[in-house]
Amino acid sequence: MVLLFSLLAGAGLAYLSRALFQAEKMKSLLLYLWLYYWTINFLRILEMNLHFVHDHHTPMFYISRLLVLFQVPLLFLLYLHVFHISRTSGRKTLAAVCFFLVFTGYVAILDFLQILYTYEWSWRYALAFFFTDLAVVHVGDALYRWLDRKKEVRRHASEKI
Amino acid sequence: MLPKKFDENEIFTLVALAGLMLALYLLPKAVSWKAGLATGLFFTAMACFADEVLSGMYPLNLYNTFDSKDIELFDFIIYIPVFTLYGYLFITVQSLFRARLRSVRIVLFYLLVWIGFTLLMESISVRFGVFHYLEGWDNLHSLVAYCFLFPVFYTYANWILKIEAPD
Repeated sequence: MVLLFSLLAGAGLAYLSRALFQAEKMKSLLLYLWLYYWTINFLRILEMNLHFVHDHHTPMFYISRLLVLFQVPLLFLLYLHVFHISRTSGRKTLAAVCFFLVFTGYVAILDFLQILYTYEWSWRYALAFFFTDLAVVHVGDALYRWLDRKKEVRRHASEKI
Repeated sequence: MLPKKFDENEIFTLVALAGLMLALYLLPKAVSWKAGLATGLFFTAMACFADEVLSGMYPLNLYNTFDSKDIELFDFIIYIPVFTLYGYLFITVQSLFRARLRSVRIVLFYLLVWIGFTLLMESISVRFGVFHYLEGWDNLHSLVAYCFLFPVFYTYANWILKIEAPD
């Protein structure tokens, strides 16, 4: 069950996000790698520095955990896509709230299956995880847009000259 | 999170960072920032994945970085600017030599140069205390790991150079 959930969730998320990668290959790739870096290090801080989270140190849980680390960035990329297609700020807020519920459910399953095992489960782990990656995805998106715009302006200026 | 002592390993990291920045400044701009960052972040992600597998608590703890086995500020500095710029440098050089990398023999030679250079840099960083080998890990193990990793990096960078133009 532990491995099956990770595999099925991974396959489902990969299927859902494939259109994103086809439409904006480079942007999706950059944001995915950026999110993967922060997710893996955030979990390592929780595990190695703070000793809050760990796995059961068995091959099955370990492989599931590695698979989960590949999945979380996809989840946030899908959220970002929904966030951008929501036109009004009300809808954007609704998208963030709905995603929070989806993510909380996902973390609750990880905790239930003990893929992300904690000594004493607390919702603050889910909150910290959610808001850290939410900030990371929006900062990454803003940086991408800023760099893209800057290069475009420079290109236009050199074309005029 | 802060280093226990600001000594030679932190200084070496900052010098390596400055060296990479200088190299990229001096080299011709052969790739777009998107292609450079996509390769750089791939290097970083692979390093994070390798550290998770080889240097985490389970199943293996073959090496530690900097002053403790915990994550430190300089772990972040070595991941994001240093490894990312190393990846940026890799794709820049690959793009510059792309026309010459036609035959398998030349590609193998090119990869061996990169593997040798990376191994040399790692040996120096071990001397400066950036990496601490444990449980029998040595340069030979790193060499084997790089022989698997660099062909992956090369293939990935080629793919990025191919998709760069229409994106």
